[in-house]
Amino acid sequence: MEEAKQNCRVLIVDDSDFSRKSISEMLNEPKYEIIGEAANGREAINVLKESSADVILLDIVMPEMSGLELAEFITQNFTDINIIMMSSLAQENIVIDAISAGACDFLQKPFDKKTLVNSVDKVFASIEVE
Amino acid sequence: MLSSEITRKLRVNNKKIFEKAFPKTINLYEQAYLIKKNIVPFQKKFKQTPNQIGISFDLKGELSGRVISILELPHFSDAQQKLSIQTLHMESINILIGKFLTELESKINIMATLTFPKICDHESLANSKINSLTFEYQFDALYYLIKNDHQYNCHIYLLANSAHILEV
Repeated sequence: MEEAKQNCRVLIVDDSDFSRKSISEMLNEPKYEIIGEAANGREAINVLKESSADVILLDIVMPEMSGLELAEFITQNFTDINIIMMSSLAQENIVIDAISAGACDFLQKPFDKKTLVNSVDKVFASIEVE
Repeated sequence: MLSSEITRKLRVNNKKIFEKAFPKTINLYEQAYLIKKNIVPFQKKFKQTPNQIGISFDLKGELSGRVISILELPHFSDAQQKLSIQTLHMESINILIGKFLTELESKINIMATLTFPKICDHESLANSKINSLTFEYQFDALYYLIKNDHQYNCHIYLLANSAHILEV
């Protein structure tokens, strides 16, 4: 008997309400479970204290705590979570900073559903292999 | 050191590159669209109409200055509609300017970023010291923001200085 495949638990962190809703709609499929949304780093940390996530979709430019700062915090404190960084900026040093902070992938905004799903699936698959 | 004539020609050429770096259209997650209408030199005056909502971003890095976006709402907009459009407005301009700066880096190697947006109204703009400043690059880009068959005019003012003489 085959084991039920675990669905991917996703946390969306973006200061834009419009972005969070759009991304949530794009991931509205049975294989994904949106465990929460957060508008900044502090809210994200509070969500992670209560719920487990496999993948975090994380905006870079945010108030109070930037996405890069949050990524470093997550990498040090939540080792089972993989991060996909998002930003409207995609200059080389921005991408390098994102990877250095612990991101497994980088998406330039705006992205379509196919690009988002491919990235989340790829990152989630790398967790399952480990 | 470059002669003033060469410097002038470089700046004129760079202004053309700046204009081309503004994206023609942006598809915002299939929920809304930004479509470029035209770009003109900034006229030193923010266009004043009723029912405007404004946001501003600071530019940092090898470009310093500000991006101000003013969106015109229809007269019938209530508070809830205004809030909904404002969040869309903020994210759409964030995406547009991010793509603009990314394109600029790839074309002429200028590295600049933008800050988190602030809300601004016309009164604060009219009283801002920005009105007394002159910038090397000054653009007024008119875009249409389209959502659910509604079309909103959006003037995006880019006012910036470069940190050094740019060479293509």
